[in-house]
Formats: sequence, structure tokens, C-alpha cells
Amino acid sequence: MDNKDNANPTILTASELPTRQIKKKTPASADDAKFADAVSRRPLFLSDPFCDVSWSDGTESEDDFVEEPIDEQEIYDLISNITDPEHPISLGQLAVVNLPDVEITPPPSTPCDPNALRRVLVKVTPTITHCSLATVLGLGVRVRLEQALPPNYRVDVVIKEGSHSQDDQVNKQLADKERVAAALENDTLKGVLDKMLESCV
Amino acid sequence: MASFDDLALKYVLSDGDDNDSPLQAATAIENAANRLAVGQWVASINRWMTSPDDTADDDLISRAKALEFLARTLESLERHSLKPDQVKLLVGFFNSLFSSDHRAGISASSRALKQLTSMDGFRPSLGSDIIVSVTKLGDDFKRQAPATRLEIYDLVLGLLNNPLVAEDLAYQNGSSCSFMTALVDVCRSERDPQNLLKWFEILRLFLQNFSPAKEVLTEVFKAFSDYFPITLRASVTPSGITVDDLKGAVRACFASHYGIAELAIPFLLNKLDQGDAVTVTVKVDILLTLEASWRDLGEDLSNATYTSQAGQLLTSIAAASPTSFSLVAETAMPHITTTLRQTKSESHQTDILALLNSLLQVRSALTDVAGEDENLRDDLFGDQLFEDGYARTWDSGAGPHVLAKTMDGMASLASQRTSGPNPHLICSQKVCEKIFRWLALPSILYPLEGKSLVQNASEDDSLTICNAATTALGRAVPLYPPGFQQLVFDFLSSIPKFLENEQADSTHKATLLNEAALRLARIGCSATARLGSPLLNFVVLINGLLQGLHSLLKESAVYWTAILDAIHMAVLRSTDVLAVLLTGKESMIIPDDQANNDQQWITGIEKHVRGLPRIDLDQLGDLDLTLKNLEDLERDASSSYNQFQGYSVYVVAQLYRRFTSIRSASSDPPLTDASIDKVIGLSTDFRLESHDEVQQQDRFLYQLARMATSVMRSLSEGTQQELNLVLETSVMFHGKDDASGSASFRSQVSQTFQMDNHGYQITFSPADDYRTAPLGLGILQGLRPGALTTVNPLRTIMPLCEILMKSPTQCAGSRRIALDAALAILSNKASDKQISAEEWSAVLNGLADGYAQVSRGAATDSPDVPTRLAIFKSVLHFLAGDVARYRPTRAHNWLLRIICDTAPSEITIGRQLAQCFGILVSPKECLAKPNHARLKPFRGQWIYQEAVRPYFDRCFPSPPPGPDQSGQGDRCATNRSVAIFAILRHLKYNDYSSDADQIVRVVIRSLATFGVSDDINAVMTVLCQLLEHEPEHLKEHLAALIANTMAVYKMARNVDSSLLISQGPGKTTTTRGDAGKCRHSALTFMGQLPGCFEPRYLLPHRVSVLQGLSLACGDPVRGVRALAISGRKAWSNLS
Repeated sequence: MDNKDNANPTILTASELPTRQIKKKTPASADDAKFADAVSRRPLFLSDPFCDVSWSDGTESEDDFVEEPIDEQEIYDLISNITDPEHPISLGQLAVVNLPDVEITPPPSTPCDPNALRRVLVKVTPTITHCSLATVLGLGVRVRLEQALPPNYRVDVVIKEGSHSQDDQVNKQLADKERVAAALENDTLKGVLDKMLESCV
Repeated sequence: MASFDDLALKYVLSDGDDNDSPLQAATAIENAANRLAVGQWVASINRWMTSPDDTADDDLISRAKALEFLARTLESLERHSLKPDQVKLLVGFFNSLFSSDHRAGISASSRALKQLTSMDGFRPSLGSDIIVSVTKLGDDFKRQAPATRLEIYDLVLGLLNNPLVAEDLAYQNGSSCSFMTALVDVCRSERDPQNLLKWFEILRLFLQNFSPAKEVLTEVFKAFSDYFPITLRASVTPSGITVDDLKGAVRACFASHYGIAELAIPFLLNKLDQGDAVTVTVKVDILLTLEASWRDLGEDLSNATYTSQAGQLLTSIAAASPTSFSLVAETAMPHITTTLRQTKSESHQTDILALLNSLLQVRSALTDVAGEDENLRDDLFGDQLFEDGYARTWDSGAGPHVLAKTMDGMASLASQRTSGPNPHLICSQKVCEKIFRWLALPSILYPLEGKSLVQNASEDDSLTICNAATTALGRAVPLYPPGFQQLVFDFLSSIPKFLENEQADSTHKATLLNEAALRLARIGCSATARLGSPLLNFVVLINGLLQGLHSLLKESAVYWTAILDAIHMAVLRSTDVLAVLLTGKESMIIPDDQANNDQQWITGIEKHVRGLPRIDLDQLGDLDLTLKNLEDLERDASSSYNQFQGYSVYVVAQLYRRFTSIRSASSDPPLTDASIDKVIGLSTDFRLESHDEVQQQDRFLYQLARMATSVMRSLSEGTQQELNLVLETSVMFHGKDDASGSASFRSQVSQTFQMDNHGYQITFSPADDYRTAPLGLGILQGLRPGALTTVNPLRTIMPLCEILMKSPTQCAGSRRIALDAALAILSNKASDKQISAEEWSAVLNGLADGYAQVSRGAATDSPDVPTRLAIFKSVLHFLAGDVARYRPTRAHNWLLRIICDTAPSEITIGRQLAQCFGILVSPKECLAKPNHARLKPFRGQWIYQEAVRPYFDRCFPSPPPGPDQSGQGDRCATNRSVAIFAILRHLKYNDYSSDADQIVRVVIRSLATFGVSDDINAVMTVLCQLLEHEPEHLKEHLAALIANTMAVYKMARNVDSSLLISQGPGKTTTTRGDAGKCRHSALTFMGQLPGCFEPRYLLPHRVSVLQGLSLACGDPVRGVRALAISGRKAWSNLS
């Protein structure tokens, strides 16, 4: 049997994870949807792109193209489904990454030039204080964010203070660009990271 | 003191029982100062063990006795006397005898091992070794004496009873439980009664404590079920065991665990089902075994861990037959109600309620099939259950999930009927009313007030409760119609107070009202009423909603629409339910031969059912009279369906009359025929207050028209003709009933527009700026082509064209769209018999004149651009109707050809005209199959051949004849491409697949020339189709496609709302939404490429694409960012 650092971690269920609250009217059943569509849908000929009659009924397809900045929840969504290297469970479920531990500066709500430099800080909480995989966890989060964020975002990943016995050392490793680059050249480590990121959509 | 050797010898030589020697040996071991004693003790029997000669019986006996000496010594030893390693060694020794000494060693070994297992030094992991050794006996097991086998059974039983050993076994074997399959194999043919008791006990213990895989479960089930029903042969040596002991042991196996229920219940029922082949005694045995299976389960209910599983089993047993139900109910119901009072957690409460609810549902189902002499324990399912069970939970302040189950159960309880003859509701009226009043709160009344049943409940929880109450009511209503009447009444009474709430704005309030009314429709129309007329609840509901609408007439039209949508929903749902009853499948439109089309119901339902409301006459109706009349109607499926159709027509007619009025034509532009001095206009309910209100009113009119379409299209051709619906498009049901006093108008219109037996002219009233046009369209749209044979198409289309081609236009916005749709319908449904070639030509000429105005270009007398575009769209609508049922002759299609040839090259507005080409093929409600449009299967290919294929050459600028004309060539080519993609985006891939290569070339040019606009989305749609179906065609052009698509993305990204990209006047401004769509479609294409081509084709572009995609990860739109991320992943994985 594998020798795991933490064989019995606490796991959160999907409903306990933070999600974006999408206000959508969900009909109670498929049957409902069938009739609701027939009754409330905008008449087809009014949805024609050439129709200049506008009735605001919330079904405008342009609603799907609302501009929203990258926010903490979006960062969280990007990294929460990374698989833990020890268990087939996501980092979100293990509470290794947590929404309050994601910080964007300047905050997404402040308007600024879209190409201005922004910094994303993620604090990772290993499941136990002597976790030997803390560096791998941090590296996984870092790689995922670098692959999913535009070039004007600077990513910093640190171990949450007090959550690891050697957090200083791990933080040093994670912040050292050359060591990170070298680590990614290592085939074994690359294999582990690929496996972790496989579950990311 | 004698040595161990002496003691052993003494024991072996003794004839009878020598109790002394083992005892002395035990004492010597216990008192020994060192560990050597145990070794000496074991070695004391060496002389009998070495070179066993199986042939000599004497040797066998003495060896057996020697081993017995060891076993007996162990029996006398204190439990702590042996160290773990000593126990292990001894276990190993005795285990080995199962393999090596089947004749002499087994009995003593078993006894010895049994003692060893109870020693303090015994380690649980040894249990597994012992069982494995035992199974090594193989076929020799059954050759052992019964007493020896008993020792073995005792040994195994002892091991399984030891929780530590059991746990270790479970851990080591997992779900495969291989030790058990081996045991079952060895012990298969046990016959001895005493041994069987032990064996069954082993099986029972195993089933209770292990979680074996299904195959193992089946194997073990077979091991005991093979004995069922068990009997006992008379024996010369009575064992003292009775047949009842054996039966009890087998039953205990059957009832051991819910896991085997799915095997046990069918097995037992199957045995029971063998008719006379089964004797009464056996039947009793079977029934008692069944009972045993659930008696223990009843007790399991109080244990939260097993409630759910035990409940499932109980329900499945109960559902087997009325008899089993009543047996189960008798045993289980007291347990259930008691447990419900003492539940330990919310989930336990939910499980118990779920069980109770399932039993109620099972009972309801059984009531339908049970014979008159069956007893379904009515006494257990009445008011008392409500008070003891549900009412208590309701009052307990439980959470949303418990409440949901409670409501579900209450509704099932309210609809329970007695078993036996003359079924009636079990619960008293008082309890039923209470249940309905309670359920009305969370489903209808509280949501209107913005309250929730549970204080501080989250939005999700409130929705859970609301949906549960709605579903529960939907189930109870068919069996308790008075409750539904009360519910509708409560809803209506709450409206005035609801409107008084000034905190919320009218749009929000209208949404709440609409949702509540829709829920009411869902409740009332979930099924036909089981008591009284099948239509009962439908009519109660729609009458009530009509009343509600009437009470809101002084308010904004936004509330009218809220109620009207619910009426429409109620009509659709009710029709659906009745159609299923009639045909057995879901379909809104019943084939003519299946619907009886009984005209007496459809054309005059009000003659059979009195007291219906007439809100056009401000009469709210007499519900009691209506219900009484409904009782007397025929109730077969076909009649009910026709009755409801009649009722729906009646409702639509009165709504049309209510919201339109006949007035003097003096203030309006005259109709085409001056002999009519009256016109149809909007009723006085429409007040012109604000632009918003007018929009809401127009919306209401559209929704009313859609409801009319839903009702009319379900009528058969004959009925549509009988009802003379063609005339109604012009008179809106006025004068149909003499009481309304407008009969003269009706006959006037009827006579004036009936052209000397050449058919009716359908007219659209110009009053109120054609605002009633959608209502006319509502009827026209639902008509079958056969019902339109009474129309004179020429005389209908020509005046319509005249209105639409007029400049400056008098009719714009939504009304114009209605008239355009009418034009499309007429050109689609008019048959060749009704319109001669010359007449058709005349129509086309009229339209060509209109088009001439459009294409007159910058001439001084040409109309303004919006009017020109509007006229062009009307022409295309007419052609769209015709294209859908194309006719290949030139005489029919010359206008289409002219337009295709010339419109995109129009100098000033060519691009806008080109964009409109989509109208020819875009999906339209007026040309939809359910609305009986004539749609030829190859229409897509036909229009492709006519309007796309001939023009590929023109999609590229021709070499300029002179230096000053080159720009125009470019623009014309672009406009031509716009027109082509506007059509192609609506066609299926197969329609144009033959020219894929050509299209790819046009795509590449278009990506570079279209700019950011919706036109680019059409191109991307076609491109994605090509990629999906035949990526081969793109292979050669990947470099250009990738570069151009990424450029489109970049361009769309740079578009700001302030930046308007315009290729001329009209609607060509690019909005943020358009730009977002462009980026979305560009990245969709890029993301799909890696999945469609081998990496070698894409690798040259990888670096630049990844660069672009990484920038796209910062797109302002979240959905586009997600595409960029997945695209980036796919591209970076290329290698």
C-alpha cells in the first residue's frame, strides 16, 4: 500500500465549495420546460437579427456576452479542480485552495487599463503541517494559473502562514523562477503535474 | 510429577475417558518456569505422529487419541497461559493436520483450534489461516463423522462470532470473500440436522457482517435457499431437533440482511406462485418466511443507518400484492409512526417519511387494481395518520427537505381511497381541506407575498419547498377537485392585496404573478380529474384565470400578459393530457382520424355547458352551474378531447372580442372597400399612457395571438372550415354571438369580402396603426392549407403588398412583422388552384415594383433607407414562403432571380440588402411544421442552387476594367459573400457540401474583408460546419484560415462600444455583443482545430496561435476566456 502523508484527509462535498451564484430560472421539470418554451419564448420572427422590435424579456442572447473582469472566484475555479497528487480528490474538496486565500491586486472591481499588470496571490493550505508534497501542490497551482491567465497577470503562490512546518523553505522554492523552470524540466515531476492538471477543464 | 510423555501414553492407553492426564499436563504447562514445557508437551505425542501408517486401524485410533490428549489439555489451560508465538505455532501445527491427516486428526484439531482461538495470545489474522486450512479438506469433509463436522462448524462459528476475526477476514478478502465461497463449496451437501443448524447460523452471520460482491451473495443465497422448504426425516437416533428449529434457522437466513432481499423476495414469491404443486404447509412456511423477512426490518427502521434500505425492502414487499401490503402495513405502520416521533436526525426523519410516502403511493396504486374483497387496511391510512405523522412534522419547524417529504406525503394521504366496494376518500373533509390550505401557502400564496414557509430560508430552499408543494398538489388535485377550487379561489382573492404592495416595481410583481399562475396551471393540469368530468379542473382553472385577468384590466398590460401566459399554458397542458388519454402518446395535434372532431362540442360548447364566463361582456360566469353541466357531458376520451377543443376556441374568441372593438371608420384610413363604415380596432382597455406601456400592450397582443395559434392549429381542417376561421381573421369573432350586437358588422364584412364566390379577402384593419394585425396573424398562422381554400389569395395579397410597399411606410415595428409573416404564410399555403399563373405574375409584378423602389439607389425620389430596407424585407418574406414549397418553373421564380442578381450590387445599401438574404431561409414560426406550413424536403438544396451556387464567381473582385472602378468591384464581391453566408448559415451541411472547396476560398476572403459584424459570425458558423463534417477541405488552407481567424479575434477585441464600424447607413453598427459573438466564434473554431488535424499540419502555427490565445485568456467576456483556456491547452498539447 502507498505510504501517504495524510491517508485520511477531510473532504468537502461539492455543495460545500464556493460557486458563482448564477441566477437562472430553472423549471421544475423537463416537462415544464417544454410548455414554458411554447408559451413564454419570444416569437421566432422577433428573434430574427433583422427585427428591430426590442422587448426586454431577459432572453436576449447578448446577455451571454456581458463583460466581467477576472475575479477571485474565477481564479478559484481555475485551480480548485486540480487533482491532489495523493488522492483522487480535487484541491478544492481538500480545502488546499480556498476562496478567501485568493487575492488579486489591484482588485478586479477597480477599473483600470485592461493591459495593466495585475498580481494574483494564492495561499495554499496543505492538509497536514509536514506535507512533503507542499511544493508540488504550489507548483501545480502556479503552472495551472500561468497556463490560464493572460501575460499581464503575475502569479505568486505561497504556503499559507502557519499551515506548514517548513513554509519558508517551500515559499522560497516556489518563488525561485529558475528552480521552478528546472523543476518543470524534470520528467518525473512533469508527469506528476500533468496528472494533477488532467482534471482541469 | 510425571513427564508429558507419560501423561500422553497414559491417555492414549486408557480405555475410557482419562480426565486426569490432560489436567495434569495443563497444570504442568501453567507452572513451568520456562517456555520449553509447551515444546515438550507437544513433542510427547511424537511417537504416534511419526510415519503414520494409514493402513493400520490401531495406529489411527492411537494417533487420534494422542491428538485428543493435546486438545483436552488445551481445554484445561488458562487463557493466558500461551504466548502469541506459541499460539501461532500450535495453530500452524493443527492447521497442517487438515491437509495431512484427514482420518485421525480432524476432530481433535478442530477442538484444539477452537480452544486456541479463545486464548489471549490468539491473533485475529490467524482466523483466516484456520478457515483456509479447513477448506483444504475438500471432498473429505463430508466423509467425516457428523460429530467431527459439528466440531468444525463450531470452530468456524466461533471465528465468525469473534468481531476482530470477522473484521480481519473482511479486510483481507474484500468483497470477493473467497473464504466463504470455499466454505460453501466444502459444506454444500450437509444433511445432519444439528450440523445444519450451525451451518445456517454461519451463513446468517456472514450475510449480516460482511459486504460480499453480488456473485458471492448469489452463491451464499443458493447455499441456504436450496434447502427451502426444509423438512426432517424421521430418524432412528432422534437428535432432539424439530423441523421448526430448522425452518426457523432457514428463515433467519432469509431475513438476515436487506442485501439479499432482491434475491429472496422473487424466490419466495415464485415458490408461492406454483399453485397446487405447493402444499398448504409449504405455503404457510413461505408466508411465514416472508413475514420473517420484514419483521426484523420493522425494527431496523428505528436504526437510522438501516432505515433507508429497510424501507426500500418493505416497500417492495408491500407492492407485491394487496395481501402482502396489508400484512406489511399491519406490522410496519405502528413502527413507522412511533419512529417518526423519535427520529434521531433530519436525514432519519427524511428516510422514514420517504418510506411512509412510498407506502401511500403503493397503496394508491393497489387501490386501482385490488378486487372488491381485498382489504388495504383503510383504518391505518386516515385522519389518525395525518395527526400522528404529518401534522406533527409540519408543526415541528423542520428543514426544507423534511418539509418537502411531508408535503409530498400529505398530498398522497389526502388522495387515499377506501378499498372494497364504493371507494371514497379515507380522510375526512376537514383534514383534506387542512392539507390543501397548508400546501397552498408555500406553492401559491407565500411566493406572491414574497414570504417563505421557513424563516430565513435561502433562495434554493424556498424553491425546493415551493416546487415540492406544487408537485404534491398536482398529485392530489385529480382525486380531490374541491381542494383545487378552493386553491383557485384563494389565488384570486390574494391578487388585490398583492397589487397594493408598492415596494416592488410592476415588472417584478408581474413576474411573481406569472410564476404563481403558471404553478397553478401546473397543479390543475397535471392529470384529468378522477372524480366527475375529466375536464373539471381544467375548466375551473381557466375560468378562474379569466376572472383574474378581468380583475386586472385597469392595471398595466404587463399583468395581463402574466395571466394570459398561464391561460395559454393551461390550454397546452390540458390538451396534452387529453391527447395522451386519446392516443396514448404525447402530441399536441391529433391525426384527424383519431380525434372524433365532434362538431357539436367544438363549435358550440357554450350550448352544452352553461355558466361559462364571458369577460368580453363582463360576465364572470356561474361556476356551480358550469360544474353541474360538466357532470352531464359524455366522458369518453374522444368526446373529452373535442369538448376541451371547443372550450379553448370559446376562450380565445372571448379574449379576441374583449381586446378588440368595432368602431366607426371615420377617423381611420378607410379599408379597401369604402362600403364598410366600421373597422376593428383595439378595445378601450388599451390606454395610451407611455411608450413602455404601449410596448407591453403590443407584447400582450402577440402572446394572445400565439395562444390563438396553439388552439387553432390543433383543429382539423373540417373544423377550421366549419368555424369559418378565415373570416375570423378579419372580424375577430365579433358578431359570432348575437348577444354582442355586432352581427351586422360581421355579415357586412362577410358579404363585402366574399368576392362573388371567388373566396374571401383577408383584411388587416388599419385602425390604431395596424396594432390588431398580430391577432389576425394568430388565427391565420394556425390554419391548415386546406382550410385556406376559401381565401382569394390574389385579392388578399395585393392589398397587403400595397400596405407594405407604401412609402413612407404607415406600418412599422411589430405590426409590420405580423403583416410580413402573413405575407409569407399566404405565399406558402395558397394552392395553385386558387391562383392562376397570370395572377401569380401580377403579384410578383407588384412586389417587383416595390423592389424597384428599393433598388432605385440614390435617385432623388427614392424613399429613406429604413423604409427601403423594410420594403425589401417584406418582399423577401413573401419569397421565403414560396421558397419553402418551391416550384421549379421560371414563371414562379423570376423575381427571386432578379433580386439575387442585383440586390447585393446595389450601390448604397447593397450590404444591408445582402444581410437580409437570410430571411429567405431562416427559421420562422409562421413557416413552422406545427403550424401546417408546406415545407418541401429539398428546399435547402433548391435555394442553394438558385441563390448561392451561381454566384461564387462574383464573390471575388473581377480584374478592374479601368483604374477608377476597382473599389466597386471589391465592395460588390464582399456584399455578394455577405448574401451567400447569410443564406448558408441556415442551411444543412449536406445542402452545400458539393462545393466545399469553393466555399472555403470565399470564407478566407470574407474573414479578411467583413470586419467585425454579425456577418463574420455567419462565416464562422459555416466554417465550423466544414470543420465538423469534412475537415479535409480546410487542410490546404490552414495557414490562411488560422491567420485570418486570429486577426478577426484581435479586431473584435479592439472594438470598443464607442467604435462603430459601419459600411454605410442603416443597421451596420457593431455593438459590444456582436464583437463578443465574433470573438466567441473565432475561438470556437481555433479550439476545435487540434481535434481535427494531425499535429504536423498545425505545429508550424503553434507558437503564434499560443501567443494569441494567451492574450485571449484576458478577454473581457468570461465565456470567451474559457474557450481561450481550453484552446490553449489543446494547442500546447500538440507535439
